[in-house]
Amino acid sequence: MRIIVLLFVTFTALFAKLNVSVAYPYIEQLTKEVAGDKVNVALLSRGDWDPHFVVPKPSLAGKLRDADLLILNGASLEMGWLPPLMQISNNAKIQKGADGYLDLSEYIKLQDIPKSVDRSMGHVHEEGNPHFALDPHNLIPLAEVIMLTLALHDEKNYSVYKKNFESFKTKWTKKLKHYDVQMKKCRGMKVVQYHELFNYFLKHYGIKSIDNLEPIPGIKPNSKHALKLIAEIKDQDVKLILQDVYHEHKTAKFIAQKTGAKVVEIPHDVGAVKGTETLERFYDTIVGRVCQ
Amino acid sequence: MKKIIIMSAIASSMLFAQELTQASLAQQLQAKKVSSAKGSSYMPDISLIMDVSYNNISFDEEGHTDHLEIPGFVHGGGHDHDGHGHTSLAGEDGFNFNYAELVIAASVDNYFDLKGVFHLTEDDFEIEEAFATTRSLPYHLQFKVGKFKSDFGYLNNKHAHNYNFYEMPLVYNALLGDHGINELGFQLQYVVPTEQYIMVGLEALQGENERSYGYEGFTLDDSGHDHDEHEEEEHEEHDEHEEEGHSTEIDDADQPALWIAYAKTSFDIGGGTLLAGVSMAQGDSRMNHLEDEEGAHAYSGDNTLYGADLTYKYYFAADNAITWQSEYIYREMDGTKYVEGQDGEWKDVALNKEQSGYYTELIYQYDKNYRAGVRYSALNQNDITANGNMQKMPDDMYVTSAMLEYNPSEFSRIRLQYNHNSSLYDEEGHKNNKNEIVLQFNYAIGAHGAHSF
Repeated sequence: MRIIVLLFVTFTALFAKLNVSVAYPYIEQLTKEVAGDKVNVALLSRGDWDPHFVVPKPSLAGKLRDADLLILNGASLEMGWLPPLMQISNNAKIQKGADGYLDLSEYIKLQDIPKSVDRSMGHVHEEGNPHFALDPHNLIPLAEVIMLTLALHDEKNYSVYKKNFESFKTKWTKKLKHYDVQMKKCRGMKVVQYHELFNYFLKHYGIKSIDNLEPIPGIKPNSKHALKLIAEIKDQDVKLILQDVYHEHKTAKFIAQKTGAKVVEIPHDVGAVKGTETLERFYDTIVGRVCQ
Repeated sequence: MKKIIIMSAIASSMLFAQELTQASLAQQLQAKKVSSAKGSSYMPDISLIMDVSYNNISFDEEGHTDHLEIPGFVHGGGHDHDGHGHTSLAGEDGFNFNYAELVIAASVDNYFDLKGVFHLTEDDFEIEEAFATTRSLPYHLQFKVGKFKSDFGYLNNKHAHNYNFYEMPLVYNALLGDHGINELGFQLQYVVPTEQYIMVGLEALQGENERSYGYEGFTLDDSGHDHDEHEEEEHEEHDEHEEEGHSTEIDDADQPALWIAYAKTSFDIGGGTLLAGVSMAQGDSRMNHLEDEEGAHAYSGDNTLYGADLTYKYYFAADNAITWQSEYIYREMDGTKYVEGQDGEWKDVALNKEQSGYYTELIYQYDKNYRAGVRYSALNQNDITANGNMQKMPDDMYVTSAMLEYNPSEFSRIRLQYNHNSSLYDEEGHKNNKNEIVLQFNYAIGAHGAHSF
């Protein structure tokens, strides 16, 4: 009897495809790069949505129920929507602390870690800025972590994952060189952004983000702060206002009108704007729009 | 046999090899970690929510407001019999401290989560909920034990700060009271292995609801005074209805006295998401209103609730959405009512109630800051027979509400609401409409878990 059970276990392990649920589109793309067609990937959000405020659709709990692995961005980015879904999925494998729970933020050195946190400071993440995926240089380490985790769950395809990862690494290293060259001419440029979405990208390429349209994180712009921004932009010769897709565009346009700075819409995730459906095109678009 | 041995040898060697690589993979992965968990992880999530309002209430007939009731559902002008000081279907005229809610939650260990919700009013401290939930049961099961809000229907398990309006809809208040089904017991839920999300659940509960359920027996004395069942433990063995001298004794109901079952499903349709459920609650009902100064009475029987709920949310963006939410509840009560006759003797009345009500609401979320909504809640069936005779009862009770919300952040909310309450009747059976304007302030501090759909 035990032998049969053992055989059965080995057998199913050999042929069942791994089910992976992912929090955001960029994780979906990375997972597909590493896994190819060896796993089923279910995406829980949309690229054009505010990543902090995804609708916790209970219809997705059916997918989470069957997940062997849940990959999330972490650093509290999913705090407002993923926990209730995880809870109703009744899936022990993907609960926090279980083997099937992969928090990518644990593998990246986070920036903008506040010395102290208070709600009067707005929506501040005490772990640090969670938007680390905006820096294309973080993709290779993230892909490797995903590769190792997939291999841990699906030993038999380790070689496939490893091979896919190596070819992604080669491809992306080339891409990064390209971006580095392209971004060189924008070093020292000054910008303002709506929300601190692009800090990792900007910091990496030596672009200075002098202020945000939000007076404090997560709080709508107000006229007093807009006036301050107008003065700052004129004073420091800021060229660009980085606008994301999901916040209102009015304030940015108004400030642009008053200052002559240009508003550019920057995607914050794969699929946020048209023509950013792959990782390559997503980062191409950011690079192209920030450094024109 | 030989084959099996060879195969199992291969299999086990594979498993062994697998373990070796797994260990090295796990090591590699561990080595890549750069940030370690926060040191505060042993501290439970603690949050405090406060809700205050300014209410302006007026009646069509200001003189007749003392003993307003919802005939056949709620009697006696909304005052509670067990001394709860809660606002019933909205607050008092003037300033109201509606509640403060203290929530403490954390993982107990690898196996359980624990959550405590403490409901505080100006003079009372209540354990609204305190329950443990499993976090690693196999077969997609989840078990809950403690005092908790039942997952009956859609709205029942929600807390007041999560309502879309100031108060519970009329149908909930009339059939279940201000706290809904909030009981001590067990809950078991199972997520069905289908692509579409389907959850079924079963709850075994104590059965203590001010409007529909009760388990504690009572004794009827012909002198007109009752005495508590528990004071006379030695009489426990007596049967129901047994005449003992000049008193009638109704025993405690068997525990658990209330059973609840439900099924819920959710799927995407027409660009939005649908959440639908059917629920049933079946339990014993013992109502002891013997202490009432006027019209003292008691009731013993069973009570079954059937519920159906439907929520559809269509989003233009994650924070720009329109939600339509409706719920229908039907109640069937069957039992004996004991009323005091002219001669001071208790009279049995075979009482049967078939009642139902519903609410339907439309909420438009303009962005993170603004939301607006309308709600209509009605009691549309009120069939009551006493000893087989149909009673003349009104079935035209309704409340219409409209609200506008401004949320400066996720943690603060200012809501303006208007209610037209046409569900209240005075002692002579005349309707007295109530109009109410509420300016409500709600604040949350601390770490509070995200809310469900």
